[in-house]
Amino acid sequence: MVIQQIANGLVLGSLYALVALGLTIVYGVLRVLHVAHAGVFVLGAYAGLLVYVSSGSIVLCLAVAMLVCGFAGFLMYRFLYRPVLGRPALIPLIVSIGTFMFLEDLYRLVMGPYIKALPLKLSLPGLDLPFLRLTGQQLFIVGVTALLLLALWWLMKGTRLGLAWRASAQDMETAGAHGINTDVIVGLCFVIGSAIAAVAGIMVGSYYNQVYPSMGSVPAYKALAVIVLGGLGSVPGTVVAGLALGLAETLTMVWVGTILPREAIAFLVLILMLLVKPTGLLGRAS
Amino acid sequence: MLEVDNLVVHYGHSAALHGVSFNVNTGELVCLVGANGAGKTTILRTVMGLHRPTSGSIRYSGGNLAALKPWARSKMGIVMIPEGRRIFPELTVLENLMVGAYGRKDKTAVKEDFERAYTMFPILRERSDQIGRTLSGGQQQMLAIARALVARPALLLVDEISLGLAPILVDEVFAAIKSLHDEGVTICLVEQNARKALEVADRGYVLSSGRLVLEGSASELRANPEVRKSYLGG
Repeated sequence: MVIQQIANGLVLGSLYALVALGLTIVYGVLRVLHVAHAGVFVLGAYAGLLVYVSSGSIVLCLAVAMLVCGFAGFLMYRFLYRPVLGRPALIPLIVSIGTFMFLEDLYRLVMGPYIKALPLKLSLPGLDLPFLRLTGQQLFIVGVTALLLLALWWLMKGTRLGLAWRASAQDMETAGAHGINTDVIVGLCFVIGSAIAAVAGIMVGSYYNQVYPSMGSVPAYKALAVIVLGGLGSVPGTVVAGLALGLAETLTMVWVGTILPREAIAFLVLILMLLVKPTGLLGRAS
Repeated sequence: MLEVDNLVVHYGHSAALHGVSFNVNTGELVCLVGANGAGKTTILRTVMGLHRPTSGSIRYSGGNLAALKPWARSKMGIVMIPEGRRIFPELTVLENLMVGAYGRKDKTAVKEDFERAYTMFPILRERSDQIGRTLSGGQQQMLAIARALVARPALLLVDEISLGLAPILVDEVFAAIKSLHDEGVTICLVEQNARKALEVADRGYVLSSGRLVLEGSASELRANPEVRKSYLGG
């Protein structure tokens, strides 16, 4: 029973980590809260839905959604954020919130206000042990998350681009003065973060079998809680915090019951964290 | 090699530089001395492309730098050792050096330069896997110098390299700058420690409140009664 709940919590946590990763990556280089990231997440779900319905291929559905969202992320950086960088932090934040609201209504206009199903047919066997049952879909979510994290880790630690990325996140100006084109690096961060959001959108859409225009609202503020919990800008911190939040929510529902709405737990955990260690799980005071 | 002409720079509405003109010839070590707030750092940052000038021109090897971003200037051989060291705190010593050599494609020559840097500062070799923020202040300054060295600068901009260092380390970092100069690197040095700067420089300019008020060879400036009184402590 406990093992089962922990497994369920980790699956949910994987989804949170995926949604929050792009936010962390962007925050890491720009110190801007990219609220519209949740809009990209919804775009990924819709793009995935359209491709899957017409082709029936999961691989194609993921690939196209990642491309579409990566490109959308680049456009957002180039035309929305870059013109206001260097202004007080409030201005990019307002741009971001406005963009998110615009996107929600755009989806409502184009795709209709109704909930659409996203029944990905996975030919994956589930896991069926005496003490633990996981569906093929749950295994798929954990597997894809693990794969993306590995790829990201390799990119950051094992490549020249990753070195430039880490240097830019730590000191953009000095990185630029040492020959790193920080414009390109920041643009790439948006592309990569948005492509991950596309995967998250498809995963969440298929996990609950629901895709709808405002499906980004709850992930938007939960992802915010996750990146603060993880220590703003820390990629490993975000993963740990995402998993921890998934666990906390699942276990609270089991042990404490539904006195508290599920969505409140993220903020309860966040408040506790800020009281105990304001720099987050893996953050460091600067 | 570097010609700065009538440079005006503003921070918001207040002017930090009111029309500064100077030049650095190939192979020279030129220093800009002056009190805190005189505009020395602003000059170097503007040459590097980290500040946009209000007016005036900066020419380097005959070309105008105005339209170029910092990374483009870096690829042309302009390298800065910034004020306050600005090493990358979460990268290892080796990774900091790799960022220094980021724009270079000549792998074997880069390797030689890493060796040179490690020979100049053996402590960096010992600490090569340690992350930057765990180094002492002096070691961080050495890393900042080494990071610039492995970029193979044609023009090296050095900003307040002695700030906050113990006297023995001040001697060491100035010796390092001097040896780079002896190898033929053109250097523009900005320094509050005028005595030290004028010891190693060929020529110097004195900057006061955003204007150049004096120029001359290092020995002329050292002998100038005004400079002695204001900057060399009598």
